[in-house]
Amino acid sequence: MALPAVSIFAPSAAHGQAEAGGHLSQEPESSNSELQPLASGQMSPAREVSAAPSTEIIVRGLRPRHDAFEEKLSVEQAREVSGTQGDPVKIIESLPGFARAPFGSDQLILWGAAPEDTRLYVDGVEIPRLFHGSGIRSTFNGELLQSVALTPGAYGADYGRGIGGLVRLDTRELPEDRAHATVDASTLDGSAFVSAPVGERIRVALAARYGWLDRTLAAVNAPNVTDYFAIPRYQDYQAKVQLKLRNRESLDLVMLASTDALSQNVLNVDPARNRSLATSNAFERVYLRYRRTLDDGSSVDVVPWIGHDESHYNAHFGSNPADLDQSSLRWGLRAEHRSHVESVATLAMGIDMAGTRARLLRDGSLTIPAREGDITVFGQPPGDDTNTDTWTALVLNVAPYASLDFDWGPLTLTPGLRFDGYLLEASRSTPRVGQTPSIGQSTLRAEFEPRVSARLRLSDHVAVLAAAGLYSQPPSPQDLSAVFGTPTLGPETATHATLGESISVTDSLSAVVSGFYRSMNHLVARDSNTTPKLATALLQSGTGRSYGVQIMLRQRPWNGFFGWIAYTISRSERRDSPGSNVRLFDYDEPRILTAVGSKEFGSWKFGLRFRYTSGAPCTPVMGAFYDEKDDSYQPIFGAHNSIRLPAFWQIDARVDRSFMLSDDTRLVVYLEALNVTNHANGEEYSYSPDYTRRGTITGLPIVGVAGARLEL
Amino acid sequence: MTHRAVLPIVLALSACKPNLSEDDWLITSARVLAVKSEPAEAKPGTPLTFTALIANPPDMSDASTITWQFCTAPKPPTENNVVSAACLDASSLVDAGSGVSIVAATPSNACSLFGPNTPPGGVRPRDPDETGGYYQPLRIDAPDAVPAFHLERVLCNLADASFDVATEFGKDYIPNANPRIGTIAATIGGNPGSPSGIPRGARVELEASWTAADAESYAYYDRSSQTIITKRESMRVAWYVSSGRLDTESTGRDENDLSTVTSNVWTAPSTPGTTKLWVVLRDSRGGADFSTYEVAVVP
Repeated sequence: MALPAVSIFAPSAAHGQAEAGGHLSQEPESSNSELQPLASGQMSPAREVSAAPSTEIIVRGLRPRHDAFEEKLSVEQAREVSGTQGDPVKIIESLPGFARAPFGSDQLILWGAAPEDTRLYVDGVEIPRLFHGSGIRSTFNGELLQSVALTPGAYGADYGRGIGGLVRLDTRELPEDRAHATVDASTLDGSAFVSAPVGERIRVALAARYGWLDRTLAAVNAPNVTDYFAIPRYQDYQAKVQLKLRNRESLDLVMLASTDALSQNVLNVDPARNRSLATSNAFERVYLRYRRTLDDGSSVDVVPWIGHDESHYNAHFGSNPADLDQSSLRWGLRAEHRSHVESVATLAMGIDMAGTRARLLRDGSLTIPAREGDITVFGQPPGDDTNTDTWTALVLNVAPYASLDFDWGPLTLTPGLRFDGYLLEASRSTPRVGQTPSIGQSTLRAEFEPRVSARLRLSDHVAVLAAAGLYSQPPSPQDLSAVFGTPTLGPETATHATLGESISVTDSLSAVVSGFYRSMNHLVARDSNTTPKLATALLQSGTGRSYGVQIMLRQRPWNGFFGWIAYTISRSERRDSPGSNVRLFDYDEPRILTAVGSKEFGSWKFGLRFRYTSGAPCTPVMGAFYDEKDDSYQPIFGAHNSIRLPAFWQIDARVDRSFMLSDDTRLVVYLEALNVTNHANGEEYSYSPDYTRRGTITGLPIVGVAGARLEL
Repeated sequence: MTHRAVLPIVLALSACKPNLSEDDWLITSARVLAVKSEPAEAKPGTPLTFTALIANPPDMSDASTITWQFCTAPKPPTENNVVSAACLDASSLVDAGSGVSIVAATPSNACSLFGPNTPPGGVRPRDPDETGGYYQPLRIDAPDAVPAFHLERVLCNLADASFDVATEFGKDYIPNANPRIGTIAATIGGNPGSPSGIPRGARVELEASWTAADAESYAYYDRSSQTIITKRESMRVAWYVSSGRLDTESTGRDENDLSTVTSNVWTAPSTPGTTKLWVVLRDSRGGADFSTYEVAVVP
């Protein structure tokens, strides 16, 4: 039996609790009460039902969606973890399987997959960015969230278009009782949230956030922090309207928007040594979500959505430009029907569609923006080779899927099948020459992707978990250029397999050991030939694999304490073409240790986080030659990714204090210190101009973030 | 009350910068500083005179120890470096001569190997630099010096344009000519300084000039508009000294800056003696000129 968080209390010692995707930890005694099933996919705060002893309780409900290796946390819990600065989405950085991104980046690296291989969803709607630039804040206000879920790999058939992991954010049900508001201000940014019922059927919520860290740092003259790492200006907005239709039927309208802008200029009296970088990103989403739970317990969930993504990357290295501008219209539809099949299974059938119509302009260096696998060192100018292209691309994916949750005694088996149909179009199959007409390129591809997960309960305390499946993802519109990419690219593919064991040590203490293996094929990589073919700057001959073991010991809330220790040992490799050597993945971090703890003492809460990760691989410089034309030295590289940056470790601490100002008003004051030991973590190697000396650029020193949060 | 006192919550207590001195302008050992070809741009196969500026060679008595080799290996477009890693390998090098100055013809197939002329078979043409140029690598090795590469600009046809545009380009494009260093002026506190007597520790403002004609305008094929436009060269001056301290290693003017002078500051050493000053003027199409001066630092 698995239910959305439902707690059942009886006056005697009998006490059962069902968690999402879990099981009753202790069977309650009988009751005649019956709980109404929640809407499909809906997570609500724990529902409590009092029952007299010796009453039978019959609970009917569909098994909520849950991946075998998914880690899901409530927003309230996530907010209290040190290192998140009160942003619940940032909790995923502390979950197992998540490798630390390079400082100053917002990348998600899960189980050795490239950042662009992981898909991000809000209520099933794909968004392009989870974090604002530099990873400071998430692009979604935590006040509107119910939960944050991270699946590093081997997820179910209802999601796709990605060969990496999956991050899902679920928005919360808006309160019906009265108006609520929250105002939060810290040294990073300020945010506000308000929700209110409008009549009996409608609830409305608005949220907004504005970042001011760049001005905070400027105001205190923080030395050198922004010399190497740009601090973005960011904003995000959300609105949600919930309309209650009939009983157990609702319609939500949600709007999301996020913008980022970042610029850095390094001026020099020699114009050839000027450096500038300006980037901006924005996305908007509007979606409807219709949910209905029928009398037989089956449910319907339909989410049509439309949106717009825009990004600008404008860099200059002297007079050598590197510009990439992209504007995309995005749309999609996710519809799912879940129903009982007899009494032992839940059948989910649905369709997952997404389309992207992108317009792109790229001008300048062939090697900037950099790709995974590029050999370069910090500060090295890009190559002198330049070109330009303007193109449009269409990436359309239609994916019907079905999965069956089958309960057979101690075994829960979930086989699924997804059919990914791709239509990939590029406006030009060859570079533009004169006024020659554009001859487009169109590719139809299909991928059948069987997936399965299983959970076998060996005892009340021990269960074995396994999951496997095939995955695919379409090429990025950026890669479909006839000049800078290859218009004929098809989907990249991967096979995921995981096996683990879950042990409940106590009611609240559990351990999960899991092993994972991911192989990747048809990966897009640069063509390293000296004379590549026309319109094939990228080849799809790359392969890769990542594998490892992770252990997580997790204490759920118990006497005011919760926390976990997660340790991952892994290896991630790539081979860019069949004839090339296997190399380490640019983001390979073979050891990741995270320990998180939070303890409540009355109105005080204290949190600590410790993180250790291996240093990222990099390529050594073995010598240099002098480029007389540009009056600069050029590095001679050693074996690709054969050395590493120093290991990273950091301790973060958080303390907050709550003040009840009235029955409905609470003030929370918090102080968070990042890197409390002021440890100098090496983030990059930097070289002298002639490459004879090497230094290490270190990351942030001790940084304090203070703020206050008022809840009305 | 300072800002720091008002907002004590953002603390940045240590620096991020590695301590790597950038005294690239200080010449303490043998080094190839520049190469000038005459003419600065010509069709492949044209005999050219190449002259190297080599600082502090250990022994100039045997000029044959300075060797020149053309590289025949094109660079993969994926590499950031200006020449292929294969150009460091003897198997891709063709002897061009020896000595401080040589006369050699660029390989006749330079526009195929390093330019837009592609063999049959749907091969991607080479991509030009931001001035529209294609370059033949020429390696120079001097005793005790780091290997250096001169990139000789070769005059190739416009291959990825329509016939009309290519014809127009062929008529309008004027091959690059080397710029000429005009004067190097030295002033101390606004007064002219004499190379024969610079006081030790003095701050000397150095000013290099060239003529307006040296920053040439040239026809450029703009691939985004598929038309011929006119661009103007940017100018750079690299400064080197054997002692003392320069404020910066290079200065210059970008293509939109019509000024024909650029300046730097040299702080004379605290001990008397003779200091060498090398000045290299480059335009953005690969042309160069250079001069060497000796300055007496007096008590």
